[in-house]
Amino acid sequence: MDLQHENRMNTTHLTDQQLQLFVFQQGHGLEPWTTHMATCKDCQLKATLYRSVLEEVANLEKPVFNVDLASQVISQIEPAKSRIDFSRVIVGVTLFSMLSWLCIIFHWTSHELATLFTRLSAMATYLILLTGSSLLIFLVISLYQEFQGKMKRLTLS
Amino acid sequence: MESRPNQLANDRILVRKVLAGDQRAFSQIIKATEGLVAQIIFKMIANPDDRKDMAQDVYLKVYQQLGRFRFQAKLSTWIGQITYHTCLHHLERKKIALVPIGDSDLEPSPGFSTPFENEIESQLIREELSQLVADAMDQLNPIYRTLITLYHQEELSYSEIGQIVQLPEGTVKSYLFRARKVLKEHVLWIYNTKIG
Repeated sequence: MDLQHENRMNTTHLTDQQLQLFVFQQGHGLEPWTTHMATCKDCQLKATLYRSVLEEVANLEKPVFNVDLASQVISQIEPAKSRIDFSRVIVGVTLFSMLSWLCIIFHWTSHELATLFTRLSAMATYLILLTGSSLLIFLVISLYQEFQGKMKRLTLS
Repeated sequence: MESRPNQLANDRILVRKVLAGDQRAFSQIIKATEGLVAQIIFKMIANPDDRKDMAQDVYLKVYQQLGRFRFQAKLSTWIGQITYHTCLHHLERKKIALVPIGDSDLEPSPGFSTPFENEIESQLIREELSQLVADAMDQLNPIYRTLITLYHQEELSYSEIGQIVQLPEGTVKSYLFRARKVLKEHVLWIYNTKIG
């Protein structure tokens, strides 16, 4: 039975897929095909054709761009770069002015701050805190949405 | 060839420099990867006028999206992926067919002779095989041409090709089997047409 099986393996030609595996993926599990390949001229011919064609593919001339791609691309990204820097400068200046303004206010009113909250009623304090935190939350949301919008435009452009 | 950890470390340094505004680092990235980008673009895009614009478009996208690169693959593979999908998008926009009609039309007929059938013919055919293969490659569809080039000329692994074309390794393997078969059939067809 085994001998019959072996004979059948040796006389059946390899399929195209088996030939490719034999030629391009030498490894385990190819032994039955190796026996057949050693004796079958037809399969040897097909394998030689595959091997030679793909060797030629490997040796084909590689394409190149006949321009200096790097300098052309760099010249196009310069304006975008400066625009990003400009927006960062604006954000930086705004933050710096806000912090400076807060510091000045704090400096001018520091002697009154200690008594400010003790003089206010609880309701007034809650109202101030609520209004302040709401404004802050809306400001953060708006800034985040603006940032997301910019990122989306950059990705899609 | 550079080892993978070294390659990833170099990629990280270059990306960090570009994100910090170093344009020379981006120029370095372009020079290191334009070979692969050219291979994909030349294999996918037939019109020579579109190729240069396509390459610039690819690198502008790379520059804009570099901050999102998470080093899950080599930088060159990621750039290859952007190139491949930019080309695909271009072909779809121009309504260019990606799969040719009638691959099976090229099945060798019983009367077809095969190169290398005898020694003298082998000598002759080897000299003109290069041209035969170049002609046959030109007749392949863009995706088959790209897959064969990436595997056999650029020597990328199945996994890297899978990352570029965004397909599982198994699918890449089966596409490659089919691509090689079609290429072989094209070679046989051109050869038999020539010898009349």
